[in-house]
Amino acid sequence: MNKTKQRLTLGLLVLGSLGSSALAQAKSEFPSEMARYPTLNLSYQPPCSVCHIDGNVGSSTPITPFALSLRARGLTGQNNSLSSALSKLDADAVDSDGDGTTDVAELKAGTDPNSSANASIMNDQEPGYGCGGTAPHGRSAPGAAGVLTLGWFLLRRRRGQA
Amino acid sequence: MNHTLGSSILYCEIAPCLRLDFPELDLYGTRDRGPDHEPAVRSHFVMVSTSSLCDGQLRLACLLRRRSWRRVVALTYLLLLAGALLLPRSAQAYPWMIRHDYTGCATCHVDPSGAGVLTAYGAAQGDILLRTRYGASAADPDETPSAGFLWGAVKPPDWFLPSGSFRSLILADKVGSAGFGGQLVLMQADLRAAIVKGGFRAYASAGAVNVSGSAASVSGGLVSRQYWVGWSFAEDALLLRAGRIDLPFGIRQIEHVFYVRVATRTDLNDTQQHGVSLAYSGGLLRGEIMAIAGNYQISPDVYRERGYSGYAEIAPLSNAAFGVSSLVTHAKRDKTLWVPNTRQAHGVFARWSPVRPLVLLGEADLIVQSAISATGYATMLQADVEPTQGVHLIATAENMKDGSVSSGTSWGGWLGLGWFFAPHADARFDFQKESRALGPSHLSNTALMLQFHVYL
Repeated sequence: MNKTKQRLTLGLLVLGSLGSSALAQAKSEFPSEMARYPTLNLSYQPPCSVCHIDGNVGSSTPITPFALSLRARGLTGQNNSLSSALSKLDADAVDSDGDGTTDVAELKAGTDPNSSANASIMNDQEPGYGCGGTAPHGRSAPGAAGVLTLGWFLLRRRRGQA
Repeated sequence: MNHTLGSSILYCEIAPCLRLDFPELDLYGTRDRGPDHEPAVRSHFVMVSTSSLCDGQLRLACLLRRRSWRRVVALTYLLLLAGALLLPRSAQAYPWMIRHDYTGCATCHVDPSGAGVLTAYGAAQGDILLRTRYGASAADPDETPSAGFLWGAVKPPDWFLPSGSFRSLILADKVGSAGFGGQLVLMQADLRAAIVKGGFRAYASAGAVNVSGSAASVSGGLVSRQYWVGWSFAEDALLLRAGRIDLPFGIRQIEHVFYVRVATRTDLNDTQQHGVSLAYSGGLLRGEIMAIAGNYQISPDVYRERGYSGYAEIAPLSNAAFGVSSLVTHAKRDKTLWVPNTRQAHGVFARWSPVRPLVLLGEADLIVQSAISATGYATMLQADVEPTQGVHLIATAENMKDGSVSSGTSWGGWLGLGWFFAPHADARFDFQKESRALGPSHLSNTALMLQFHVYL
C-alpha cells in the first residue's frame, strides 16, 4: 500500500469515527439517571420517547416538548447535564404540555409530560422496531459511516490479498 | 451493435454516441401549450460523442468507463462514504418543478405521487433543468451524458432503474438561552431500485441511518422506507400497488421536519405505511387513495395505525395546481400519545408559479385526535425563487397548534439557499428560527443547517 493509499484509508477511518461518534450522543444512561434523580426517585425508567420524537433515538431527535424544556436548561450530551437540567426544570415548575401539571409531577405520577392525554408511561411495552421488534436504545445504532468505512477497509484488504 | 434503452433512449456502440430522444414532452418547460393544457409536442434529442467523455466535467464518467469493475466498485464505495460523511438532499421530491409546467410527478418519478427513483426522462430533466449549467445552454445537445445512473458510467437495462440518495447534515442548534450545539447527522444513505417492465412495477429501497427506533427500521440502523409491487394500466394513468408506500397526503416535499409533515405524520423520512393504493395521473387531475394496513415494521400490533390516506389535485393551468388531502387512522395505542387514538388530518394545498423564477407552495391541515380534546392545525407557505438555474432562494413560514399540547401556536421561519452545483449533487444552507409553544410559554429556538446531497 503506497503512502497515498495509506493516507486515504486513514482519512476515511478518521472520518468514519467522526461520523459515528458525533452521532452517539444519545445516552443509554439517561433513563436510569432520570429515574434516580432524588426529586423524582422513580420506580420505573422513562421510555426513550419522553425525550426523543417518535422514539427515534439519535442526537438530532431530542425535540419533544419535554426534551426542549430540558435542553433550554442546559441538557447536552454530557452525563452530568441531566441532573442540572432537571433541577432547573423543577425549580421553574415547567409544564411542557400545558395540562396544568408540572413535568416533574407528571414523571412522578408516571404520566407523559409531552401530552395532555396523560397516558401512563410506567412499565408499558414500548414499540419495537424492525424485524426483531427491538425497542429503541440509548446509543446510536452502528453508524452507517462506520459500516461503510469498515467495508472500504475490507475491500482494500481483499484487493491486497488478491 | 445497437440496443435500445426504452423507447426514448438509444445507445449505439459502433459509432460511440448517446442519443436521448424525448418526442412527447417539452423538455425545456416552455410555456407553449397544446390543446387541453398539455405540454406542446416537440421532438428533442441529444447526441453526444462518447469520444469527448474525457473533457471537462465528464472526466469522472470517463474514468469509470476505463477502469476495471473492481475499481468501479471501489469508487462507488468511496462515493457512498463521502456522501454519508461529508456532504449531502434526498428523495428528490421537488414540488417547485411546477415552474417548468410539471404539474404532475409521474413523468419523472416511478412513484406517480412523486419522490424517489427517477425515470430515464426524469434523470435527464435533473441534468437539464435542475443544475447550474455554467454558461452552457440547457438546449445544448452536448450536456446530458452525466444524467444516467452513476453519472452515465453504467448503463442498466431499460427496465431496471437503480438509484441511490445520500444526504447528510451539519447542524448547529440552540434551544432557548442555552448555547449552540453542533452535530453531524446522517440523514439518508439509501440505495434504491425500480423495475418497470410493461405494466409491472416494483420498487425497493434499503439504507442506513444513525438513529435507533426509526419507524422504517428493518434492524437497528438499517432501514427500508419503501418497497412495493404494482401494475400500471389504462396507458399508465392508473397504478395499483401494494407494499410499504409513502402516505399520499399534501405536498410531497423533502423537508420532513416542517410542521405540516410532522403534525400529519406524512413525511418522506420514515412514516410510510404498508397498504394498498390506487394512483391516478392524468393531464388535469391526479390523486391517490391508500388503504393503510399499518406499519408492519413496528410491533406489537397495538401500535399499528389502520385507515386511509389520500389526496386529489387539479391543475387547471400549467403553472397552478390545487389539492385536498384526507387521512383517518386508528391505533389501539398511539405510539406518541400512548393511548387509543383515532387520528384525522384534512387539508388543502396549492402550488403556483406566477412567473418562472417564483414558485409559491402552501398547505393547511386540520388535525383532530380522539385522545386529545383540543383540535390542532398546521400550515406552511413557501416561496422558492430561482434567480439563475440551479440556485434557489427559499423562504418558508409555518405555524402549528399541536393538539397534544394544551398551549398556544408555534411559529417557524426558514431562510434557505440551495444550489444544484453539479450533476447529481446539491447543497443547501438553512437558517431556522422557531418560537415553540410549550404549555403557557414559548421557547425560542435557532438552527443553522448545512446539507449536502448526492444521488446516483
